[in-house]
Amino acid sequence: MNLHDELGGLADQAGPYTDPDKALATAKRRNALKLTLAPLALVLAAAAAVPFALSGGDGGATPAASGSADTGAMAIGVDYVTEDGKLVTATGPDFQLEGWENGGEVARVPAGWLVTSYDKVRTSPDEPAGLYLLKPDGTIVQTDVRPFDSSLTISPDGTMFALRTGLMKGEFAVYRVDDDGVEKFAAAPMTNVNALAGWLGDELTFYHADESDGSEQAVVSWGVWDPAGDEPFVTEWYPGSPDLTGTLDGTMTFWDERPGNEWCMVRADGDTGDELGRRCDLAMSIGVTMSPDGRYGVGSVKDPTDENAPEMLIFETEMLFDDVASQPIVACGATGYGDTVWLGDVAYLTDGVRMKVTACDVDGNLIETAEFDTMISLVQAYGEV
Amino acid sequence: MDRYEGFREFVLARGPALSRTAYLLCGNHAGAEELVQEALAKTASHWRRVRDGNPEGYVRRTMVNQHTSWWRKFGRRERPYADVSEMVGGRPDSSHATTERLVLVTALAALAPKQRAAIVLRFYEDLSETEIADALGVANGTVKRNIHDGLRRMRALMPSIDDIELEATT
Repeated sequence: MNLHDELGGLADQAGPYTDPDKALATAKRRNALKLTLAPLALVLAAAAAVPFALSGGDGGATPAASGSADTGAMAIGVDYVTEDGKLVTATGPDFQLEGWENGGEVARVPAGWLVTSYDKVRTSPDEPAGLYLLKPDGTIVQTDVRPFDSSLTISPDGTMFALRTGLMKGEFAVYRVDDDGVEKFAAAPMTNVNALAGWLGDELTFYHADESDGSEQAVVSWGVWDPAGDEPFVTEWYPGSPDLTGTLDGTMTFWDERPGNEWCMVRADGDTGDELGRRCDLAMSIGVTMSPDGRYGVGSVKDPTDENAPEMLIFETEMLFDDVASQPIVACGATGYGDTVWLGDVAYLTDGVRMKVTACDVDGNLIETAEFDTMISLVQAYGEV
Repeated sequence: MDRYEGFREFVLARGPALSRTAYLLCGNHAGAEELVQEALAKTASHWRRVRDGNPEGYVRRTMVNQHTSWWRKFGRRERPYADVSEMVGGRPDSSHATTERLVLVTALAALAPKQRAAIVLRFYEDLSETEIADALGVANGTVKRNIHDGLRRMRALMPSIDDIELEATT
């Protein structure tokens, strides 16, 4: 069976959409509504210190029940978001997130929660997404970060983030975030850059995949840039880093895939690009989720026996490169395709379907499990929170 | 200048193609139409900024995000069948092509939305992994993993998928 042809045949069953007026009418109606509501939104934003939307309507006095998993009795040690846009925190009150009609993303940083809404929370109808800082006391600090069209790439200490701006026109911007809000301090065109890769301390890393020679295997390189410095944007590119998976103590860890489907986990010096170590015998599938500080990682087993739910593996980065005989260990029996977030050396793994959460430390000790009916995502924390 | 100038022409030209992609993402006509309608309405709102860039890429990305969001909110709208014979009424189907089509529908329905999006963009839209990563705003490795895991999952139901396609992404 040729998958391309089969998908094409299936797609032939689609009814063609040829009614631009219908889409335009929807857009105009929504824009009109936003223009009507914009003055009110501005007033609310200007009121900056208004306690906002604390769950339970009691002005913020309601602490999150420690056993706030949907199924009732189980506790969970990380924040999470429910499908109706409630932010359930592990240690404080819960919040109803504004602008969550079409979902979004939430990240915990020392100053609060950075909330990206896919829709709403904007002061102009042309703005495709909103970003605001939700402080622990419930105060919302709106930002002028818009438009943008990527997830936030947040520094390990949670004080900076970068994102792609300009509606896919290849620009990016870098911001600082503190208790006062969000401030832009650098921007550059993403010339010859495919993606923001991550942070190396206070520096940003990027990668570029060149497919101009027409081959299936792109030629990939990576670069580092200090957004607070005076140097031009990414002047030196190093070869051979397809996908950054983490940074640690001035080093970068990434996958290096070679022709013949061989892949290795590689460690390189962030300043010189020199390779410091290479593991090509790991029993993991390509693609892992690293902790924000790069110390730990989680991936799925390379050759699963269960086709539907691969077993997850967990590892300590240093150990893999210090002991070349070591392998990632089983992550407490967790399986699935869901997202992973880290809290210290504990990984919270979701199975992606039932939203079962398994918390497992890097020694393979099961910390807790819980199942949720309405949770849609866990919240990754950055820095001391 | 009309702020929506060129939008109608864009929809008329690319609407059918976008519908086909939406159908592969959703697996049903109503969902696909809703998805295209929602994505185009959002695109129209930002048309002045989008039109000079890559409007089709913007719509495609909006569809994927929207579908993921709906999937998370409302769960599966399709029923993943464990046994294809269940879909053809338990009777041997005389049409091999029909059976394969049903198997494909079932296999797609068994995928998580990000896996499904990656599979559709890679094997239907023929985008490269880098183009998919750019369109979805994720790293190449995430795309690789979604394609690899998605194909493996599909292959459990569709052993007839070309081996070479699976190996090419391992």
